[in-house]
Amino acid sequence: MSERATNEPPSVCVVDDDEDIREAMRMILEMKGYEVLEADDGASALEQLHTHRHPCVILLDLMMPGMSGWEFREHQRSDPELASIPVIILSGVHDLASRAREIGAADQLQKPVDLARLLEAISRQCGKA
Amino acid sequence: MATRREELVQQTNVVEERAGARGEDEDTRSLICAAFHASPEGLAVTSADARLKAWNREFAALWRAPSEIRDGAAMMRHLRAELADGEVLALDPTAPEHGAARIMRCRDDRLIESTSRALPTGRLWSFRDVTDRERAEGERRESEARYRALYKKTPAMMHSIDREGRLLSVSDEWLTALGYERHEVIGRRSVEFLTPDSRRRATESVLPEFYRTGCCRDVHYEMITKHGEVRDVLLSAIAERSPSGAIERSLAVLIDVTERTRIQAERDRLLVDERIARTDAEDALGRLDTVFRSAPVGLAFLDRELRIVRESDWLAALLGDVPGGEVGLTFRDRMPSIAAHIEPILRRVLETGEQVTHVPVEVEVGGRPGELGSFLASFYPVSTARRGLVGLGVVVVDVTEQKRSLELHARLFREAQAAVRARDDFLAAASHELRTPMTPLALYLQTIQRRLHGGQPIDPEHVDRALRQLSKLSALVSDLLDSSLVHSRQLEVERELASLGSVVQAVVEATRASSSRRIDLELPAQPLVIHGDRLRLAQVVSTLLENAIKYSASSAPVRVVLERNASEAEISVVDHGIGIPPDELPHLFERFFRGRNAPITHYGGLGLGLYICRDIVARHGGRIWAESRPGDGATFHVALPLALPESTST
Repeated sequence: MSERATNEPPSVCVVDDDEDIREAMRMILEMKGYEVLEADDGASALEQLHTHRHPCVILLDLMMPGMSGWEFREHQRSDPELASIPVIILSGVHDLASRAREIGAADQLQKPVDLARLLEAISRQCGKA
Repeated sequence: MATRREELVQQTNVVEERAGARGEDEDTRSLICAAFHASPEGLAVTSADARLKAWNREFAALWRAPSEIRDGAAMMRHLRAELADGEVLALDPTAPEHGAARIMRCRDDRLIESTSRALPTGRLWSFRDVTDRERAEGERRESEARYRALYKKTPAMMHSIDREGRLLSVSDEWLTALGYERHEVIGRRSVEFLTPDSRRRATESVLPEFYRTGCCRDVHYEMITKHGEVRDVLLSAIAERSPSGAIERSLAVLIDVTERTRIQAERDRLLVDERIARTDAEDALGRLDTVFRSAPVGLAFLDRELRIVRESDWLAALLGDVPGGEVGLTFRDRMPSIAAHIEPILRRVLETGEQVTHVPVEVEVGGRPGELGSFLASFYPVSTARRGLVGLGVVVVDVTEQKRSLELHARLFREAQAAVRARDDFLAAASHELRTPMTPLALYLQTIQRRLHGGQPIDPEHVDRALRQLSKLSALVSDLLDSSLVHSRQLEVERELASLGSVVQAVVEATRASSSRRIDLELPAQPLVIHGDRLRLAQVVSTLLENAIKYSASSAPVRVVLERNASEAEISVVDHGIGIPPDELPHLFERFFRGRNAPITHYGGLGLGLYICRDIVARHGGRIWAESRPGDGATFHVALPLALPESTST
């Protein structure tokens, strides 16, 4: 399930406990031709990743009930099947750059996010103009 | 005797002269013979050729000659046989001719003295038994020799002086003590050997008195040795007087008391030192005792049997007793509550001689049950030079205040840390909470903007959703404002008659609309009317419901119950979430409170909702509380007084 067929659109996994954020992301990304996987915490995200086609990038919130973003990264990085999927941190925490380095994220976006930067960051990971 | 002998010799001479002058005069001869034989001395006459010619009866008796000896030669043989070995007979013609007395020793140890006088035709010998006399004389000589030896050799300083005070003799000990040879001192005045002071005293007072009384006793003089050292002596003397009573010479015995004087001086010095030391010690003890009694620390001495020998007033007061009242008690009797803990330490100090310090102890203060004070006790071995380890010194320092202060500091520090953490958590949470609705709001607005720029129609759904995020934001800002009002006690409620059921139902329905969570609602058959602020009470129910959803799994339903309970309306919000640790229940309604099982990394929220709820409920005269079994969710209860019937009817 890790490889996507040439005719399949790239997918993005959005992990955030806030339903409104997930909904807004879905709307925008689907308009841009992405498939969207949603999860309200880390545990749910791991389950989605194991049962669906691998996304080209994971948009990850850090502060979540259940399994937090930090805990999710620990699981993901220790899982050979999932470790290679790039992660973009999307969070309102301060000092985001150092947090992103700590957990080895490919990129980081501060909430509230700039739409152009969001799309650019995703397309950089997914190779889609 | 000598006079008698001389008379006899004269008589004999007279007899011989008469015989020679007048020839044979028989009467005279008879008379002379009678006198010769009647002499109490042994007399014998020898001829010019030294032959024994005649002897009297006493002579025969003296020499124990048998009466049958008549012949002079036989008598001579007898005499020689009578003499002890080696003795020479005075009548022997070979003996030297002399007139002086001569003593011969017989075989039976008698001593016989002989004297002789020449006659015109021979020699007259006179003999006497001088055994007793000679023995007495020998003994006298021997005694005198012994006396002299004793005088010289006796281990005492002795001297004798003549009338002018010049030394006649000195004992060896005298010479040794003063370092002189005998020839250096004999003839010198005895006072020359005294120090000037002693000499003055001797000449001015001691000697005049001595010449008057003839004795003196234990006169203290300082003598100077040949090497210039001073020796202390005690001199006692007696005088030998002539028959006229004049003092001829004096014998003195001197006792060298230099060492004794030195020892006495040393003893005096030691006594003075000891007296000073004792005074010092008494002063020190006095000061120590003052310190001991009034020092603001606990001091005690225990003997080796752990009996209290002394304890300071402070310690006695601390333990609620009269000072000194507990002397003699054992430590166990005195401090039963800590004896089991402390006694092994005391015994260890006694066994090892090593101190043990800063042992924390808690005891009841002032004998008041339950009032515990904190102390640090130190135990020191106490030794004396003479008796070694005699017991223990105990020093007790009251650290109750320090401990309380430390505990207060620790508590304040914990609280300060908690406050800092709460502030940091609040800022992080506030940032998170504000950014959360801002994120979709920004996305919707930017999408609308793009479409406007691209000349595309705007989706009204995007605008609605943007507005919904805006109302979330304004609710957050309201919470911040409300908490500020609560904090300054300025939150106002506008009370009116209201159906609590309607308020609860409206909140549940609004929540159902925005959340996929199952919410069960139980309402009473009869409406429950209260006198309250609808919006504020809706805020309370909404906060409880949002928390129930937030802190439980998405699959777990939430239940809201409204019921009447006597004169109160009671709202219960029940979840099956993470619950609340029991020790945190009392802090649940404090500002910025965050449960330790709900860290900021997992749960957002400003920590203000319950704080505001408590104030709103309180302003309605109601109560709010929570029940929880950890891991099995929580139930929040709000009890509000029902409106009075008369007010509902109006």
